Formats: sequence, structure tokens, C-alpha cells
Amino acid sequence: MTLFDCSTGSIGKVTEINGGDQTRRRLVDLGLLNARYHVRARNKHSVLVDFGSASCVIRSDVAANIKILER
Amino acid sequence: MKIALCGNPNVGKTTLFNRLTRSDEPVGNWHGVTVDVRTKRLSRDAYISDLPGAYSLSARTAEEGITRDSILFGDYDVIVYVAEANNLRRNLYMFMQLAELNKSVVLAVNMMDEARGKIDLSLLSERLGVPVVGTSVKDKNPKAAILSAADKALHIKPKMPDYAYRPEVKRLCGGLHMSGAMSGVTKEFAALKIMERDEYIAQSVGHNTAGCSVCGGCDADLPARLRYGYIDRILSGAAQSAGVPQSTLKIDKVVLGKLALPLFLLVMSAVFFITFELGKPISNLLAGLIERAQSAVLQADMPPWVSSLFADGIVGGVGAVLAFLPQVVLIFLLTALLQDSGYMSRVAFLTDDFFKKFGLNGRAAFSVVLGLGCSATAVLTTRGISGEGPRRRAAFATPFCPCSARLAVFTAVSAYFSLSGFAVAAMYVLGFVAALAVLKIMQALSRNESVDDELIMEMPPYRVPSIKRVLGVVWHNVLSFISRVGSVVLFISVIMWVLCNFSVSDGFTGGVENSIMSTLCGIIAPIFAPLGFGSWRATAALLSGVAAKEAAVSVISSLGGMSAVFGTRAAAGSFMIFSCLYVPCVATLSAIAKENGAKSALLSVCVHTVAAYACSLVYYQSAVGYAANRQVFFIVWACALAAVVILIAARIIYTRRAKHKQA
Repeated sequence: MTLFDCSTGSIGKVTEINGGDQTRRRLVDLGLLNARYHVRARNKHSVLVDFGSASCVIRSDVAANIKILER
Repeated sequence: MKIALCGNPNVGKTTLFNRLTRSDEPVGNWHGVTVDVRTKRLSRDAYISDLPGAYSLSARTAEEGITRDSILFGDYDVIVYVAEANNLRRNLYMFMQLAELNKSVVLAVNMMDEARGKIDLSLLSERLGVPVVGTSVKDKNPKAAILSAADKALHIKPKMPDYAYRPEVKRLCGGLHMSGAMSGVTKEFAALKIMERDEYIAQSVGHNTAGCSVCGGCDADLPARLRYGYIDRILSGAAQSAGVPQSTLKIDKVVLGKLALPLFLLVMSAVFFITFELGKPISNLLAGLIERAQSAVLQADMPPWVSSLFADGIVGGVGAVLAFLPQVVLIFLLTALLQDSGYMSRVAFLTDDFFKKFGLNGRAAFSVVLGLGCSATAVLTTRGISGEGPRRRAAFATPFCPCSARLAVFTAVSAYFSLSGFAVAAMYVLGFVAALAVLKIMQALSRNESVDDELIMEMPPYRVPSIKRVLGVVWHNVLSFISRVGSVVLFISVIMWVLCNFSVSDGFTGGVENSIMSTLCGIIAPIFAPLGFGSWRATAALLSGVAAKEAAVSVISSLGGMSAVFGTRAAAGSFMIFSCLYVPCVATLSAIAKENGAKSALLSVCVHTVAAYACSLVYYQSAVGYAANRQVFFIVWACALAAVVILIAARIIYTRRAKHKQA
């Protein structure tokens, strides 16, 4: 299951990040690997997610590369 | 001493920079406000540079590239690294790379007043081996503390993180030769970047990552894991982690919930209502004062040409534009309040789907809203939009959105001809529709291109707008408006006055009929005859508007007023449409040339002129046709509408069939 498949309110943990080298690199740099998440809102092209102390908008194709484990 | 101010985006670097240098560079509660390096004097022997925000020294965007190059190759003595109190873990990630570089660093923990957990600054300083300063807008100016810490940092280097001594890092360091521009970069930093597969650094040190087997096949995630592991140990017991504020979660439930769109429209309507309706009486008051000043100058005992120069050229010309200052102040104040509260970032999220349809992303909303104030500034802020294609498209199309200077023209013309407030609103709609049409065409010409290179957009928490910050933004923009009035508009007004009041053969004529201007513009004017304003006066106003849009109002005023320039309401409406869409001002064109190149600026001139001419022509000829023969008018428009509907229907059917075939 990926972050893109989550509905609003979903809570869990990021388990794996896929995608192109640069994309992976930046997401890992941002500390998303193994981070806890909370999906707060979503629209067609992006998802608003809380990662600990910060909220981020992640576009859908990137979210589709973030594998998660829902709690 | 040369100091660089850097950090992650939206941690308050520019606000701190403004406080330290007592300047008023634009700030905002979102990332990407700073797109270039700005340097100011901090003290007698210290200079400070504000660098664009970056998440890492591996650059993904043009802004991050500027920051990386400034840090790696700049001659800064000390780096003041700004981190947000509530986001220390992520913010310290780039700090670790500065430590790997063995740079002299000061850690400024910003927004201490908003910290949701306890932070032990002295323990942080001890563990990191650098001076740490806590800053907040509510405290006194941290200039002395920053300068003292920078002085201390000059003599100490941060502790090299323990992971830099790991065998795989050391093994890679052994094979590196740092020379040329890279001689100031540590081997540890370069080795970790090579492990991350940072092509820029690898190429700079002549390392071939493809055939590298020194570290036994690098684990590209290892440096990040090591850095975060080290940060967690540093922060343990020194800073409490805190989640997103409850207030932000509660507000977002409403703002991003089912009522999101109606709320957004309500907010935007309120902005426009307050700007135009509340600003009108103050504007009228100001116009009255300017008129009094004009008549006082005319009554003074001076030679006719001097009194005419002061009354018509200077007071009349500049005053006509200054009368719109209340509207300009209000629109800047309201947008600054929305930006500082954090709502504008939600607007980017909300409008993302919409902008994607036109080949942009939600971050374009910032530029569009800023474009309501000043197109030139808006074009420069498009640098914050990720992706070369969307950035170029946004820079090209943003000037179609009417700026505050064009508002001055709309308000003046519509007020004189008793065209309702709807006429002004219609100009805004026309500008946005034109921008979207241009974007759609550009999108069609650049198919299969990604519209969004940005992976993540940070969503700042809501906060009560700081009066100081908001007034700073308003002051910055209003000052820019006034300085344009005092320089460009004044210059144009005087030049136009000379051209309008002097003739080559007779010198000062005191009238415009036989002036140099009437001769020059008389040659071009027939081009505008089909648009309803084929007089040389209207042409002169349009030409002056290229230098500064608001100058058109002052030129109209100095050429005998609205009635002398436009004969009918239809002609005035046509002029408004043309003013809305025609060539952007020189400042905006130079901004487009800076961002997209001279060719793009030239293309912009052509596209704007063609769009303006076509729309004005359709409007004026329709208005004339309606007055002459209503039946023919309705038949022609019905045919045109039917053609458009058929074309749209054909397009929809074609797209559906194509999708069906693909499926």
C-alpha cells in the first residue's frame, strides 16, 4: 500500500521509498524513511500529510512511490 | 567579516535578515520568497548575505544551486544557519553538511517564542561544537548576539560528526584529490555526497560514480541514515519534539474541508470588496486635495509655462496616479495578512488541481496573487516554481493578470464614464482568462512535460499575523509604488508635458493641438481607429503606459482629461480592455527577459499586443454593431457562439475517443 492509496485520516509509518534516484534522494534527505505519517487532506493531484512536527503537500505520483504500513 | 545567512525554506531567514540589517526585503509564510542572494551591511566591518532556502547541499532547484555554490565556493567567514525551533530534526540535516564541510557556523534557533517543546540551547551548543543563539520576533534585535556568536565561531570549527570517520567514508576519502574550486571542500563532505550519488560533487572532484567500487557499492541512503541517527543523538534530551499545533489541525479541518472552495472565493471577494469599495472614498479625498494643489499652483504668480509645468505636468500627472495609493495600500495589506497567516499555502494546495489543468502547479497561485500587486515582482517570484517548463510558462503568463498599476487606469476610466464596479471586475476576469488561454496554448505546445518537479511543499502552521511583519511588507511595496511614481511617472509626466506643450516651430504653445506629441502620435493613431480610440491623445497615453502603466492616467489628465481622449463609453471600455492586455511595463519586460531570456520578452510584447488588439476590436465593433443594428449583432454573436460550442464539443468527443482507444 502506498501513501497515495490512503484516505483522509490514515495514520501509519513509511516503510519504503521508491521512484527515480533524485526523487528518492530528496525524500530520504527530508527524513521520510521510517517516519510516522498522518494524512490530513487530499485532492486529485496531491496529499497533505503530517510527518511529526511538519505538514507537507506531496504530489500524487510521488506519494505513489512511498510505501506505508497503515496502523 | 562576511556572514552568510542560510537554512531550510520558510524558517524566517529573511525576517531575521531584515531585523539584523534594518531592511525590508519581502518576506512570506511560505518557502521560496528569497530567490537570489542579497547582501547588506551588518556593522562597521561585517556584511551579511541572505541566501535562498535549501533542504540540502545537493541542489534540486535553481535557488538551491545558488545556496550550494555560495556555501561551497563563496568567501564567507561565518555561516549563520537558521533553524526553526519546532522543526529542528529536519532543519539540522543541512547543518550536518556544513559541519562535514568544517565551516565556521553559528546555529540560530528561530521562532523560539512559538516553540512547542523545551529547547536547551547550551546543551545543543556543547554537542554541536558551535555557538547557538535563540531568536524570536518578540525578543529584542538579536544583532549583538549574532555578531558576538559569529566572532566566536571565527575561532572554532564545528565538531566533525562521528559518522565521517566510518571506514567506508574514510576509504572513499583516500581516493579523492581536492583541487581547483574544490580545494576548500573537505574530503569527508565530498565522500558522503559521492555515496549519495550527487553527480555535481562527483564530477567536480573527477570521481566516476558509475564505475566506483571503493566502498563496495555505496548504499545511497547510508549518509542520510547516518546524519539522522547523529541528529537524533544530538537532540536527545536537548529538544523536545512536538507535533503540528492543535489550532492548525482544527482550522485546516474547515479551510481544507468541504467548505474549502466557497471559503476561498469568499476570502478573495472580501479582498476585492475592501480594496475597491473602502478605498474609493479615501481615493476621492486624495484626488480632491491634488486638485486643490493644482489650482493653487495655477493661481501663483509665475510665467505661464512654469505654472503649466507644475500644475499639469508635475502635480496633475503625479497626483493622478497617487490618488490610487489607498487601493494599492489596501490590496498589499490584505494579501500580506493572508500570506503571513499561512492561508496562502493552503490556497496553493487548494488550487493545485486547477493550475495543473493549465500546465502549472499550486505554487503558481503565489505569483498570481502577487501579480495583483506588481507584475514585475510576480515574474521574479516564479523562480520559486519548480520545473523549468512551468516556471517559464508562469513567468510568461503572469503579466496578463492585472496589476495595481492597471487598476489605477481601470478605476480612473470607469469612474469618469460611470461604468460600474463590474467593469473593473470584468477587466480582472478578462486578464485571468487571457492568462489561462495563453497557458493552455503553451501547455499544448509542450506536451508530455512534467508540470511539477517539486516533491514536497511544506505547509506552515497558522499563526496570528505579526503586525510588524505585515506592515513591513506593505511598507516595502508601497515604497516601491511611490518611488516609481516619484521617478518613472514623474519623468514620463514631465516628458509628456514637454511633448504636449511645445511645438518644433513655435516653442511653448500652452496647448496640445499643434504639439510634438500630436504630430508623432497622429502617425500611429489610425491603427487604433477600429478600436474606437484612434486619437493621438489615447495613443500617447498607451505609449506612456509601456514605461509604467499608471502613467497613462497622468498623461490622460495632462492631455485634457477623459472627455478629450475618449469620445464615447464604448471607446473608453475598449481602451480599458486594451490597457488590461497590452504590452507589460518595462520593469515587467526586463523581469521576463531576466527569467526567460530576451526572446521570451519579445514574444511577450507580440502576444500581449495581438491579444489586446483582438479583444478590443471584438468589444468595440460589437458595441458599435449593437447600437447600429441589434438584430445583425445578435445573429453574428449567435453564429460565433455556436461555432465555439461545436468546436468544444468536437474536442471533447475527440479526447474521449482517444482515451477509449488507449484503454
